[in-house]
Amino acid sequence: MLSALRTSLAGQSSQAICRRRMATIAPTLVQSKPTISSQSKHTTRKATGPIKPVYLTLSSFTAKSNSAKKAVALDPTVFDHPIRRDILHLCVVHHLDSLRQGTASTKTRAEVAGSRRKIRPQKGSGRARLGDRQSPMLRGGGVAFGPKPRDFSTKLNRKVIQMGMRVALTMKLREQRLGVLQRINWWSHKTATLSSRLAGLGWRTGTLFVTGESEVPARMRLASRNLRGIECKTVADLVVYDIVKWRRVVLDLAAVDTLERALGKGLLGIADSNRVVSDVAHSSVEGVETST
Amino acid sequence: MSSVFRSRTARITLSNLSPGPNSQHAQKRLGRGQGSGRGGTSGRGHKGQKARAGNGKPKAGFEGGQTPITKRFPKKGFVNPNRKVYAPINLDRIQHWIDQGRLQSSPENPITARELLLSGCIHNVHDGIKLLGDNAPFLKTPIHITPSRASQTAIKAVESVGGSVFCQYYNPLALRDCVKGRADRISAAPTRRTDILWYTNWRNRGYLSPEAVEKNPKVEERWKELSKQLLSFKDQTFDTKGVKKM
Repeated sequence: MLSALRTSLAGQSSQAICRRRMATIAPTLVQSKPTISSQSKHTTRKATGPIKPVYLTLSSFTAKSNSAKKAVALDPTVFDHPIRRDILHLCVVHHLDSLRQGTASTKTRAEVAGSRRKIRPQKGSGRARLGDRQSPMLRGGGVAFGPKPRDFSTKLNRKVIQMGMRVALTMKLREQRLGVLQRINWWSHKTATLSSRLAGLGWRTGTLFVTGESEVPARMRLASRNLRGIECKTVADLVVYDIVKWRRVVLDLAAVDTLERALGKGLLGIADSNRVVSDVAHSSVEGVETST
Repeated sequence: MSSVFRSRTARITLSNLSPGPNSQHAQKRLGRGQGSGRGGTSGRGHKGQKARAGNGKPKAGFEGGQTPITKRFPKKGFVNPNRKVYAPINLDRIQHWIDQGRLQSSPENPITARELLLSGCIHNVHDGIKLLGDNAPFLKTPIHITPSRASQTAIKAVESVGGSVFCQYYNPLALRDCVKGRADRISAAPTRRTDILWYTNWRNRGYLSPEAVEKNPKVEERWKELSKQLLSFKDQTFDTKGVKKM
């Protein structure tokens, strides 16, 4: 009895000692050394301790402003990550470098058209000694060390990019610029309808819609593609640069699922059934800030 | 919003990102004017061999005529192209891995280079695995292992606990197939005399020895024939007719 109490206290204190904000202790490490029987499978325990989801108010295209609000439970390892601005810088620079065309080109003295004939004798003319006409010293000659077409893309560690995604999503959530919709879909292909609804929501400019489906729904794509300041993407095409660049990022539940699976540690195990929570008192973050 | 103290209250946008302090160093650009500190002679001083374009040395390692360090000491020895480096693995480490549940063995699935590598018991297989007997008393579980080589102490210790050791010949291709888990190719038999003598010897628990061919549950059919053929020299006599006695 006393030994059981002691071990339970030890377990709690080991979790309390980790004061780092994102101390996610993997369940298997907390377990004691396994017994010799190699046939027993490790059952993953879900951590029920200090890790709690972050709640965000669920937005909607169609809901009335005074109707009952729901909240979305988000994985804190993805949406409540410590902020690392330098990692964001790395990811953004890496992305922009990859976009460079790298086609600047110049001709060296070997490539400039011309003969190899020596322009004037080595000695006797009283002027500086010169070889052929394409020397970089001369007007019309080649460029010394000029640009050549090259690849500016760089490697960035996969896990750095993943951390960048987590930091960017966290940053957007904290600045109240992240929204979650049930599904990113629109009833009409007419742009005017979507434009007016977005204006009503205050999302008309600077909003990026990210859907977790394999492609953006057709009517939404048609309605939004002529709108300046609005873009629709799939979660597979989402990069850190987009999240930083766009003023507002609106995800759908499928996108949240995909992102948490790719970026999270899976400790909370938020299933589809407990993703949307009706009790709004939980909501620690208000919905996405609108532009007036 | 929760009352978390934020050190940077400005929103993070594309216009206020910066690298971590001291994470990036400015490039040294030579010959770009006085203010840079590296203009004019670009850090080379004035004239002389070292100020010229190109290397500035007659050849790599030249010390101005003084006997270079690469010439001061005599050459020694030779490099053996047939050299084999075996990755050592001791019995206590295997027992520890079994205790942790990272390694299992049975007569049907013996421990090979692949299992040892994938479980992290060994970091690099080199030219094969050699089973050594450090801390042999720690070995408690019977293990079934097929290394490239094994020491006498290790063999004794493994068999006293009820395990089995069969040393198998792995040439580089066979070792790669073993590690990658490829079973479509036949592993080659040893061709060198020293290897043949070693792997047909039961003292080494060689897989081609008659006792091993009998006892090994994972014996291949061709090993039985190979064993017979490779050991046939023992019964062969030479034709001594007409050969002068020394």
